[in-house]
Amino acid sequence: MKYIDTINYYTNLITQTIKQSFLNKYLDEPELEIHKMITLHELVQDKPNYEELVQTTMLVQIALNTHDKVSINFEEENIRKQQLTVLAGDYYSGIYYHLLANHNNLTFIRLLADGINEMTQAKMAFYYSDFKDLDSFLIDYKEIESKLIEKVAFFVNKSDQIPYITTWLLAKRLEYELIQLSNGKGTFFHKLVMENVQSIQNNEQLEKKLRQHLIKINQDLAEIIADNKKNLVIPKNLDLFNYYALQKKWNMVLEEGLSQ
Amino acid sequence: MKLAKTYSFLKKDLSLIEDALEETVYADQPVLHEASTQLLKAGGKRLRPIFVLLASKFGDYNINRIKNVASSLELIHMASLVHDDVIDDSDIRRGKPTVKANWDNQVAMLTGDFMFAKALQQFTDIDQPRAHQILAKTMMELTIGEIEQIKDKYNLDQNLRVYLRRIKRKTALLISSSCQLGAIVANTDRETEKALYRYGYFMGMSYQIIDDILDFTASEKELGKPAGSDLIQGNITLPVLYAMENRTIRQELKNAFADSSNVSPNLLRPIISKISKSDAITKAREVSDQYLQKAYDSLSLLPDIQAKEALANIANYIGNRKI
Repeated sequence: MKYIDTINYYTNLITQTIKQSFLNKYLDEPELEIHKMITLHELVQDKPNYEELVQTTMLVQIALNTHDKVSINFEEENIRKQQLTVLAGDYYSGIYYHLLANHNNLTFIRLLADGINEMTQAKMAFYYSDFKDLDSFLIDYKEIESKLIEKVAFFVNKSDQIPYITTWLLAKRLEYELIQLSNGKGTFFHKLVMENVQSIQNNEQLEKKLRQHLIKINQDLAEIIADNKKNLVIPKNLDLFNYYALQKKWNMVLEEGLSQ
Repeated sequence: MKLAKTYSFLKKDLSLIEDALEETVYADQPVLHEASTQLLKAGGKRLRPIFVLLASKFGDYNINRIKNVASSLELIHMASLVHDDVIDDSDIRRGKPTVKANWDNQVAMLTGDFMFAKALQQFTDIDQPRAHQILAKTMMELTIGEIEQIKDKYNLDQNLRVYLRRIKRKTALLISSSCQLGAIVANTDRETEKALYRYGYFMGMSYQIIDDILDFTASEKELGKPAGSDLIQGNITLPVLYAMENRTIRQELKNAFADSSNVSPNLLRPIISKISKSDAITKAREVSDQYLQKAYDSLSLLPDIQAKEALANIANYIGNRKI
């Protein structure tokens, strides 16, 4: 239960921090990327202010993800939602700065600002590129997926873990995207692939390619583990999303009576 | 007197800040670089850097430190403008195409985030925790002000206090913080810092009220957008609040706003014309004047140096500006 406790702990902490009644009324709760949460926790847990480091990095991640949801053109029927999406992202990044400023953690403010800077540049290049196939798409996507966490890994002098972490994060991302695909739920990632990868035209092609890539990435992970004599921060086969879904379901059963 | 003449003694330092801004928004990624530079070149009064520089003159004026504060505040202001243009779906700002118009919403969002990051990168060179706490709080309030503005759109049942709180968050706090941060980075005493903060706050309030008045009284050519645009977007500003004391205008507005999805410039044109000719404009101007007077009063506590005269002249200019 170790990981699920960690996930629940940070989920509560972050959800409480970003609570804003008007935003909550119109916007869906921001999605917390649990694979990143776990990675961050494992990286910084030996630091005295580890909670703050995980919380603020996740806030920056949520802020940037929220701005990804702003559509290219506003549609008449959801103008208010779109306007608030812009402001929600600004609000979440404001909280990151506010929390760290109040703890006088200027070093980490700077580190995350560096991360946002690099991330916006990488995203701009990425969103406006055409990719021939999923291979070349994933090479660049991997960078965006792990940019902030790489910064943190350097900060805590664990840069030797970066090859493993970035590959693991991509594996978890692909697992997640496959789950969403099989549940018929469209995601920003699916949209990006469909719009930017020439060789993929529909969900069936996407699912097939993602499965192939996942096998390859898991082989890469096994090779990194074999080459590395040191302890690696996260176990390779952590079944994160099923774990989380099961816990959520169990919570719903326990709390069923509350809605009466 | 022209605004620039009031602070001509800052010319060299302002030019350093301009260079710093240009250098700061450099990005390897060409679209991001072009979008940020376009925003920078679109001009603007650079009021926030000017307030930082003038406030710093009351303490130990070290341009190398002050420059970081001044350019950070301008970048934060610009980041909020580029996101505002997405929120308002604006294609023109200061008579020039916006980032979202030249590219799209996504480029505008990334440009705003990039500028925000650049601002914080610069500002972290200032190792005074209180400065960061003030700026962080200001940024939070700025966003909350924008959220409140959306919440209050088309709501005619709001009062003066709600309006004043909104413009405080939306405009006044960033100006008062510019003055206060200028004072902090120049290590002035607390009394001087407080007087400068109060001056900035009152100036900011007056500035926004005048902006809201000009939305009704200036021409489309001067504004670069149709007169009454704020009202068309559902924003209830001070002239509207006063105009609604007239029952006929209130009822007409109520009818027009009954279905906010059908509000159009044509529908509101007669009401906008009535408001611009009503005594609501004079009443709003009186409130602005009261804030200006308070700004002058705050200056009276400060020593008589050139910067004080410049701050008074800026207040005078803001109070009488035609656009």
